[in-house]
Amino acid sequence: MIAESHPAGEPTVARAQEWGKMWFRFRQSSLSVAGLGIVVAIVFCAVFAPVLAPHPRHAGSFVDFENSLRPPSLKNPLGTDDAGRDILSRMLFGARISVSLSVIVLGIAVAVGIPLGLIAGYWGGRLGDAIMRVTDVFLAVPPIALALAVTAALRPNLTNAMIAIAFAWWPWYTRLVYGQVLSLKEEQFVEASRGLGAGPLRIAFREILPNAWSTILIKVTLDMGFVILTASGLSFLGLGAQPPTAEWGTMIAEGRIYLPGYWWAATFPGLAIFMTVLGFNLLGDGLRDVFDVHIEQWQAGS
Amino acid sequence: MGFRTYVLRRILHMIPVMVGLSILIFVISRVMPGDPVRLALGPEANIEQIEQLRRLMGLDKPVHMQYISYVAGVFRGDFGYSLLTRRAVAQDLKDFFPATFELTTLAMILSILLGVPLGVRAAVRKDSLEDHLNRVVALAGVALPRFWLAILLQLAFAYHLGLLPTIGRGPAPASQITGLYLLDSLLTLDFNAFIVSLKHIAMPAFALSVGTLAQIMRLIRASMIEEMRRDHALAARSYGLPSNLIIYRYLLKNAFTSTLTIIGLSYGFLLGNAFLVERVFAWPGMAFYGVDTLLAKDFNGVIAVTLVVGVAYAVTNLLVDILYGFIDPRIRYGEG
Amino acid sequence: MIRQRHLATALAAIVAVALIALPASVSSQVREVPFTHIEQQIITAIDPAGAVDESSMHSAINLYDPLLYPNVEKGTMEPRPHLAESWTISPDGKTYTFKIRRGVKFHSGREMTAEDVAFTMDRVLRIKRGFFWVWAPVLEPGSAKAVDPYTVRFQLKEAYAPFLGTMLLLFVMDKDLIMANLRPGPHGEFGDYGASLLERQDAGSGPYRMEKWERATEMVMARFDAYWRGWKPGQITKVFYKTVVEEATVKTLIISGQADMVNQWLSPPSFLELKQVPGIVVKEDPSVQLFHLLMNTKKPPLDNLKVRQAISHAFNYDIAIQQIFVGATKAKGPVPVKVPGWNPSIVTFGRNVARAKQLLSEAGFKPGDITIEYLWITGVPMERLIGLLLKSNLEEIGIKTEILGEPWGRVVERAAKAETTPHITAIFDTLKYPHVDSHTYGMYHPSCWGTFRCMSFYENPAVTKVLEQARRSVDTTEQLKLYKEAQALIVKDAPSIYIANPLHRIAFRDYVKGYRYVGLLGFDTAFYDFTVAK
Repeated sequence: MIAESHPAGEPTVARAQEWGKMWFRFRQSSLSVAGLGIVVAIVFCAVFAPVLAPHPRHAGSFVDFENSLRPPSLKNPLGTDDAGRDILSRMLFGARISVSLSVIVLGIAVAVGIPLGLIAGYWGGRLGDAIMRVTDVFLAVPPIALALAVTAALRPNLTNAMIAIAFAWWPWYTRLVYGQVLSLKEEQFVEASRGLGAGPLRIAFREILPNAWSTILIKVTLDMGFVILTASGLSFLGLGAQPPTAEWGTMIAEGRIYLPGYWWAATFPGLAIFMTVLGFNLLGDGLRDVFDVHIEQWQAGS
Repeated sequence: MGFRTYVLRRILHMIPVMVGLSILIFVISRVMPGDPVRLALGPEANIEQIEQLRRLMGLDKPVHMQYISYVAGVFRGDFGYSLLTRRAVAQDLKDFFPATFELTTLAMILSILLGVPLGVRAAVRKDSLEDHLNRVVALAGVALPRFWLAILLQLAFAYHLGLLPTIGRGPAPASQITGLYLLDSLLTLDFNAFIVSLKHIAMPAFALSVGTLAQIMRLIRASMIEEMRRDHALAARSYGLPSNLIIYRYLLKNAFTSTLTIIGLSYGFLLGNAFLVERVFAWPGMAFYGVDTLLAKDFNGVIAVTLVVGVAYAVTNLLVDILYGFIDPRIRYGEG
Repeated sequence: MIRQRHLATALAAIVAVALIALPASVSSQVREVPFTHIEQQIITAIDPAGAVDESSMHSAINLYDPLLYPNVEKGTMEPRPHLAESWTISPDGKTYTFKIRRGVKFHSGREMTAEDVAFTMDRVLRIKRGFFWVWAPVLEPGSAKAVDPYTVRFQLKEAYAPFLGTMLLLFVMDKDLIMANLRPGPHGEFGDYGASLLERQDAGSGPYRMEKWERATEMVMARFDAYWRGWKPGQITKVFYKTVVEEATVKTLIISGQADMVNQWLSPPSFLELKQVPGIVVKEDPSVQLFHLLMNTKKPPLDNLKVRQAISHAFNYDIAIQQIFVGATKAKGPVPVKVPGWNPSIVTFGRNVARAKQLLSEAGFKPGDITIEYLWITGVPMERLIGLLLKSNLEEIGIKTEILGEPWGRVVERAAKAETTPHITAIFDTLKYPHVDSHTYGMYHPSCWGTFRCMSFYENPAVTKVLEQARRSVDTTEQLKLYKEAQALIVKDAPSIYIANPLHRIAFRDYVKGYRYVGLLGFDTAFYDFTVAK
C-alpha cells in the first residue's frame, strides 16, 4: 500500500538506504558480526561439504574398523570414530543435515503457525478462540517433552524426528504472530487501508504480516540453533537419525560412550553444535538490536 | 477485578488446557504402533494372557470410553497401572516426583542467584570486555547440548578431580517428611545428610541451570540498561546517592520484576531438560521415569508424566503471576 | 513459639533415633563389607516368577535359592545339589523326586519345606510369566507334590531332556508369607499371588534380603544372618546394586572407586581403556553366548534359501570377530562351542563374495533389487557396528540395507509376528538353562514363534521331528546324537548369520576375589561368592 503510492524508482533507493543504515548499526557490535561470520561459515560448510571433506565417502556406508577410534592426526584432523570413519568429513556433511533439519522444521512451524496466528488475531471470534485454545494446549508442556511423546509413537529416524519437533514448535509462531496482530491491528495504517476498502485477507497478509516480518525473522534465526539442540536431545535418547547418517546429535550419541579415553569422538560434534547455536544466537541478538524489536526468546528449549 | 477473582479465573483457565493436553497425549499414546501389553508381559506371553491383561486395563473398550474412564480415574487419584513398573502409576509419581521437584527447584534458585548478579555487573559495565565475556559465556550456556555438558561435568568433577559423586541422589535422610532430601535433612537438623545430599545434587542442578542462568543474565542486563537510561536513575545519581545503592535499591527491583515474568517459562524448560540430565546422572526422578515409560511405550506412565509436567508448569506460572502482583502492585488483574 | 516447638519435636526425634540405633551398632560384631555393583539395565521385577532379563535374574539369584545350582566349583553348568540334596529319576524319565535340605530358613525365619517348592512351581505355572514356558510343555498346576515335608515329586507329561537343568530356574518362595499377604487380583483364590507384597520385600531364603528398592536406580541388599550356607569374614554384607545407563558414567564410577564391579555390557574399547587403569581387573572368559543375526525366513526375499545363503557368504566374519568384538570364537551353528552337545562337524558359511553374487543371480535377483531392514537394540553399540559392517558388505553384492535401532522392548514386540519382524535382527542369546536344548529346540521349533529368540520363524518338518524326538529321549547318548543332527540340518537352511561366541568381559577392582564366569544368565553375579580383601 505504502510502496504502491510512490513512483516506481524511489522506494528501492529508500530501501537501499534503510538497509545501509541497518548494516551500519549491525556492524557496531563485534559479537553480532562474529555471529554472522559463524553462520556464513556453517552454511558454506553445508553447501560445499563434498568438496571440503577430506574423505567424502566416510559420510556414507563406508567402514574401516581397522582404523577405529584413532586420535587426531594429519590424515584425520579430528580423529576417527568407532567405525574408522573420518570425523571431520562426517561433521562437514553433518552441517548439511543439521542446517537443513532446522530449516525444514522451522519452515513447517512458520507455514503452519503464522497463518493460524493471523487468523486468530485478525478475525478473532469463535474460530480465533479455538485456535488459541489449541495453541495453549500445545504450549502447556516443554517442546522436548511433546516431541519425545511424538517420536515414541513413530519409527525412529530423521524424518520423524523433524515431524515431531515441528509438531511441538509451530504454536510458538502462532502465539508470536497473534500478539503482533493484536498490537498492529489498531495502528493507523491498518485503519487507513481498512477505510480504503481493503478486504481482511489483504489487510492480514499485505499490511499486518510485512510489519511482523522482522520479529519473525529474529525468532527464526534464534530458533535455528535451538532446533538443532532439540534434535540432538532426541538422538541422545536413540530417537533421532539412524546410522550411518552423519547427524551431529547422533554422532555425539554414538561417540559419548567412548569418553573419556577416546574423547574426540563426542567432543568435536559437540563443539559443532555449540558453535552453530552460538552463531545463530549472536546473529539473532544482533538483528534484534538492529530492528529494535523486543521479543522474549525464552521459549525455545534445548 | 479483585485479586481473588483473578486467581480463580486463572485456575479455571487451566482446566480446558489440561483437558486438551490429556486428550492430545491420550491420542498420541493410542496411535503408538504395536502392543504395549505384549511388551509388558514379556517375550514368552501367550494370547490368552495378553487378552486377560488387556481386559484388566480396559483396552478392549473403544478409545473414547477408555478416555472417559481414565479421566474419571484421575479424579480419584488413579492414573492407571504402569506396564513398566507393574504397579499403580500414582505410586510411581509419588516416588519419583519429589526428586525432580527438588532438582528443578534448586536449579531455578541457582540460576537466579548466579544470573542476577552477573547480569547487573554486565549492565553496569556495558560494552566493556567483561560485559562481552559475560555475554559469550552466557550464550555458551544456552548453546551447549545439556546432556553433553552433563557428561563433561562428570568427567571433570567426579573423574579428574574426584570432588563430587558421579550419580544418584545419595542415601535418603533418616527421616523423610517431604521427600526432598535437602529440606528433610535440614528440618531434622541432620547436617551430615544435608552435605551428602548437596554433593549429589550439585552437578545435576548446575548442568540443568546453565541455560536458564544465561537467559536470566541476559534479561537482567537488558532491562538494567533500559532502567539506567530512565530518568529516576539519573535523578537519583544527581542527588548524590552512592551508585551501589542506586543499582540495588532502585534499578534491580524494577529489573527483577521483569525477570520474574520469565521464571514461569524457564521452569518449563528446566523440566524439559531434566529429561536428558536426569538420565546422565541416574537421578531417580520423574523425567528419568518418563523416558523409560516412553521407551517401553507404557502409555499410562507417559500420559501421567506429561500431565504432571503440564500442571507443574501451569502452577509455576500462576504462582509467578501472584508474586508479581505482590512485588508490583501497579499491575491490574484484568487481562489475563 | 510454634517454630520452637517444632525444633523440640525434631530434637526429640533425633535423640530417639540415636537411642534406638546406638545399641544395635554396638552389639553387632560383623565388620561391614559394602559392595557397589553397576548394571546398565534396570531390574524390572524382583518376583522370580517374572524374571527373564539379566538384571532381574541377578535379584533372584541373590534374594532366593534355586532348587539346584550350577556346579560353579567345577567350572561347569551341570546341576548340583542346592536346596535339594539329592534326586532320583524314574526309568521312563517322567518322575523326578527331590530330597529337600533340612534347616533352610526363609527370611521370615520359617523353615523351608517341600510344600514351598510345590507352591512355587504351581505359582509360576498359573502366573504364566517369566520362565513358565520352560515348564509349560510338561507340567501343569498340581504336577509338583509334596510327598512329605522334605520330599517333593514332579510328575511330567512326558520325558523332557532339559528338565533337571531347568531346576536352576526354580527359585523357591515362602508360601506362608505370600498367602498371608494376598491382595485382590486376577488369579482367583490366589488373588494377586503376592504381586503387591513382592513390590516391598522378597519372599526368599537367599543370602541377601532386599532392604530397599528404588525402581530404575538402586536396590540395596543386606546380608541374611541366618543363611543356611553360613558366613565367613570378608564376604559382602551389603550390596548396592545400581542402574546406570551411560557408559562413560559407568567407567567413571569404577575408575574413581565409587563402584567395585561393573557389568558386561560395556563396549570392547571401554574394556581396553579400563585394562590400562591400575587397580582394575578386566576378566575375560570364552562365553557360551551366541551372537547372531536372525533372518526372517517368512519375509520375502529372505524366504528364498539362496538369498539367505548369499547374505551369509557376503558377511565379513573376520572383521566382526577381530575388530569389532576384539577377540571372540567364530560361532559354529546355533549352539555355542563350549556347550556339551555342540556338533563339531558342522560346516558354516565363510566369506565368499563371488559365490554370494552367483547365489543371488541364481535366485533371480539383480543388484539393486533388494532392500532389507536391519534391526539392532539401542544401547548395544556393538550391534550398530555390526550393522554398519553388514551394510557395507551387502552393498558389494548389490543389496541395500536400512539400519534401525530400537529399544529392547520394541524388539520383543516386533518379534510377535512374522509380518512385523524385520528382515534381520541382531541378538545376543545366552543359555537359558544348561542344556543344548536351549539353543536348538528353544530357537528352531515352531512352538517358540513370536518370541525374540525365534525371529527367524524357522520351520523344517524334518528338524521339528528330530527336535521332538531329542527332547523325549531318555538315553543321553541317543539324545545328544539327535540334538547334533538337528544342528547340522538347521545350519544348512541358513536361518541366521552365525557370527560369534564373544568373550565375556567384566571389570572389577582388584580387591574383589571369587568372581567366576558361569555362562548361565545372571549366575556369575552371585554376591555370596565374592570376598573383599582390602
